[in-house]
Amino acid sequence: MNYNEFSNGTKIIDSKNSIDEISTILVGLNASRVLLVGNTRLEYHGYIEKIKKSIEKQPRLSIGAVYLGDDLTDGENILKDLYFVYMSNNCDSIVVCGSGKLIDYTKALKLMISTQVKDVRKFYNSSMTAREIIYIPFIALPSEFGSGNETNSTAVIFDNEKGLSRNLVDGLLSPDYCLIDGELISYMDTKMTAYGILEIFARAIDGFTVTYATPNTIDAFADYIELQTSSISDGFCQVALTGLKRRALSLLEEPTVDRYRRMEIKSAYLSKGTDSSGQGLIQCAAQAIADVKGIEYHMALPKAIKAVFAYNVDSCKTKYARCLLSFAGWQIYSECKQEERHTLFVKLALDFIDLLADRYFAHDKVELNEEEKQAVLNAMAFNINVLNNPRKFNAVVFKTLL
Amino acid sequence: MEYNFERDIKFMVGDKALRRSVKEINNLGARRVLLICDEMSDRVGQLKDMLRQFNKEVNIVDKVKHIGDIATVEDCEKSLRAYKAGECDSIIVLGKKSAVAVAKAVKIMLKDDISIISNYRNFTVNNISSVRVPLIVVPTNLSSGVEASNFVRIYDVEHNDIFEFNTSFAQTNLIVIDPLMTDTMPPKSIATSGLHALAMAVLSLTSDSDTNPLGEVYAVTAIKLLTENLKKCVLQNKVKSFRFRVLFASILAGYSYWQTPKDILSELADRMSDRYRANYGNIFLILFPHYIAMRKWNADFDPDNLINLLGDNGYLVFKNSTANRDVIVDSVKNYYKRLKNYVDYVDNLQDLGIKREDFVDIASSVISMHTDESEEYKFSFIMELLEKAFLSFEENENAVKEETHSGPTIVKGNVEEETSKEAADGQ
Repeated sequence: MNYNEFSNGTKIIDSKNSIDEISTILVGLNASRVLLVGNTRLEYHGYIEKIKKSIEKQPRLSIGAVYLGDDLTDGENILKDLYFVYMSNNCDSIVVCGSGKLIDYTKALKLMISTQVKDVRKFYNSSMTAREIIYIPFIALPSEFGSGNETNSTAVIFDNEKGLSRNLVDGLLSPDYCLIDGELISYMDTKMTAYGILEIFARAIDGFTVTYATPNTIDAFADYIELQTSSISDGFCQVALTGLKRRALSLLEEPTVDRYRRMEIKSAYLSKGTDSSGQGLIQCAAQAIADVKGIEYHMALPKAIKAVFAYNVDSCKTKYARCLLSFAGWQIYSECKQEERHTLFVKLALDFIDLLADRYFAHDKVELNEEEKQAVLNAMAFNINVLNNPRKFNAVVFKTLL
Repeated sequence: MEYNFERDIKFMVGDKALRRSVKEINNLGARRVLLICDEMSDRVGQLKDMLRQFNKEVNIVDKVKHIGDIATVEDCEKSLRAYKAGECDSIIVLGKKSAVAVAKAVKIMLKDDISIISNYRNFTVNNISSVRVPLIVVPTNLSSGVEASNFVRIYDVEHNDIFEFNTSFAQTNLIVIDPLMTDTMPPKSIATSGLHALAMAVLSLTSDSDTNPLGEVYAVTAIKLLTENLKKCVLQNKVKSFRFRVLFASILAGYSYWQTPKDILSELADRMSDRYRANYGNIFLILFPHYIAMRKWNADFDPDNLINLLGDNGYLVFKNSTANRDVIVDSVKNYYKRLKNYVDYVDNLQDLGIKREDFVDIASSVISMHTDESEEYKFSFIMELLEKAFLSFEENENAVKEETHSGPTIVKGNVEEETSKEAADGQ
C-alpha cells in the first residue's frame, strides 16, 4: 500500500483535425495573445501557417509573435531570446509545435514566466521556490515521437558552465494540452523513426525498473536497493512494450500516417503515466554519453541500454522476466524456464536493438575511450537519477561495461 | 468534441493519501467546500475518519448527508441549493455510486447554470463551458468504479423517469484512494465487486470502439490487481491491503469501462436493477461471461495484454483453437468457475429474484431505446443472453452436455446432406 500519485494533468487530444481545435482550447483557457514556437522545417511544410490560421479564426485571439527555433541551438541562449520575445510582445499563452528539444525549451520558458524568473539557471538549484504563480495556457504539438516531452513535467537544458544536461522537474512544466496530428509526425525520416522507437523502448524499461530511492533512504552498505514501483507505472510500461516490436517493424517497413499516430500515442501515454517515476539508469547514462560525446541523446541510447542491461541483469531478474512477458508474449514466456526468463528478455531486446541499428543507423556507432568513459561516469554521478536504480551505482563496474 | 477545459483526473493512492490530499485540494482552488456523503458511509464512521484526516485544514462549509441507494432529482436539487447558499466553490464526495452521481449532477447543473434538473427534458448539456468546479472523490469499499467516469444516472421518483448524462462536464479532478476507507465486507460482496470490476476491465479492452490508451493501461492494471488479489481477499477479508487493492482495481476498471460508449450489458443491468431493486454489479457480472461468449468481436484491439495477464496467473485454457477470442472466453469462464470453489457468489439471475416471464418486456424496453442495427440490439440476441444468464454455470454446462449428447441427429443430418451433395456431384 505504498503511497503514489499518477496521471498528470496534461490532456491528450488525438483527433483527425486536432490543429483546428487549437483556437477553441485557447479561448477556453482564457488566452488572448499567443506566442507560437516552431521550427523552419515545419514552416517549410506549411504547418506554422496552418496553426496561425487556426488560431486567428477566433476574433478573441491574436498571434503575439512567431519564433522559429532550431533543435541544436544552445538551450540557455534560446531561452533568453524566447523570454525577451514573449515579454516584449505582451503574450499571455504559448503554443509549441516541434521536436522534443524545442518542446523542452518552451516548457522551461513557461516555468520562467509562471514563476517570474528571468534566468533558467536559477532552476538548476532544486530548492528554488516562487513567490506567486502566474497561470500560462500552454499547448504542445509534437512533430516527432519518442521523447514523450509533450506530456511530462520535466525539461532537459544543457548547462554551458558545467558542460552537462540538467533535468528540471516541476509540475508547472507539464503542458495543459497535447494535440496529436499523425500527418505532422509522419514527416519523420526512417532513421529518426527507428530512434524514436528505441526511445520508447528505453523509457518503458526504465519505467519498469526505476525505484523511488533518495539519498536519505539508501543503505550505504547495501549493494541493492529494494525495488518499489507502482502497479500503475508498471501498467503503462507493460502496454508500451506489448506489441512494440511488431508495430515498430510494420511502421518502418510500410509507414502510414495511422501507424505514426499510433506510435506517438504509445509514446505520449507512456510519458504521462510514468511522469512521477523519474528518470531511470538508461536515460541517465544516455544523457551523460550524449553530453560527453557532443551527440544527440538518442544516438547514445544503444550503448546505454546495452551497458545497463549487463549491469542490472541480476538485480532485476523479476522485472526483466515481466518485461519478457510483455515484449515477447505469453507463449514464449511460458515456454521459457523461470530462471532463464530475464536472460532471454535481455537477449531478445539486444537482438531487436541490433536489428534496428543494422538497418537504420549503422553508421552512428558510439565508441568511448578511457578518458571519455571516466567523463561519462562523472556526469552520471552528478545526476541524482542515477540513484533510482535497484543496483547501487558502482562506477568501477559500470565503466567496464561501457 | 466536448471541452471542459479542466486538467485530467489525478490519482492519489495508498497509505495516508487522504492526509496528503489536503495540499492538492487547496491547489485545486477549493476554498469553500460542499461535502456530499451517502447514508452508509456516515453511519459506519467513514465520514468521521475522513474529516479527522483533513484535520480542519479543508474548509467544509456545508454537508449533504443521507444520500440513499439511488441518486434522486430531489437529492441533486437539495445539494445544489446547499452549494449556492454556502457560496461554495468545490465539492468533495465520499461514498458509493449514488453520492458520486449527485455530486456530478450538481457540477453539470452549475456549468449549465440550471437549477432544476427537469429542464434537461428539453435541453441538452452545453458542449463548451469554462466554469470550473473542482470535484474531489473519496471512494469507499462500496464503490463501483463510476467515480472516474463521466456517466451520471439520476432518478425522478415522482415522475418515474430517469435522467442520463454522459458529459466531460461531470469530470472528477482528484480521486483519493485511502486504505482507511475500506471496511470489512462479507466474502460474497467482495467476490461480486471484484468480478464486476473484472468484467468492466475485460469489456473495455474488447470494446468495438477505439479504446482510450489511458483506459487500456488502467484496464490491464485492474486485471492484474484482481487476478492477483481477489481470491486472497475473499479468503482473508480482514486483510486491509487485499481489500484496498480490490477497491483500487474497481476504480481503474470503472474508468476504463466508462470511457467506451455504453453497451447492452450496462443497459440490461440498469433496467433489471431498477425493476427488481437488485444489485447492478451483480447482474452485470452474471451477464458478462455469457455475453462475451456470444458476441462477435470486430474490435481492432491488441489481445496480447489480456492473454499475457490471464496466462501468467494460471487462468489460461489452451484448446485446439488458438483464436485469441476463444482463449479469452475460456479463461474468463475458468476464472469464474475457480472462484466459485472459494465463495458461493450468485451466478444466475434466478437467484436474484429476476423473473423469466419479464424477459420479453426487458428486452423490448432496451431495444425501443435504440435504432442501430448492431447484432447485440436484436431481440433474439438479448433473449438468448437472458436465458443463459437465468441458469447457473452448472445448469448451463449440463444443458450443453445434453445438447452434445443428442447431437448425432445433427451430425447425421450434415453427413447425409454432404453425402447427397457428393452423390449429386458424382452424377
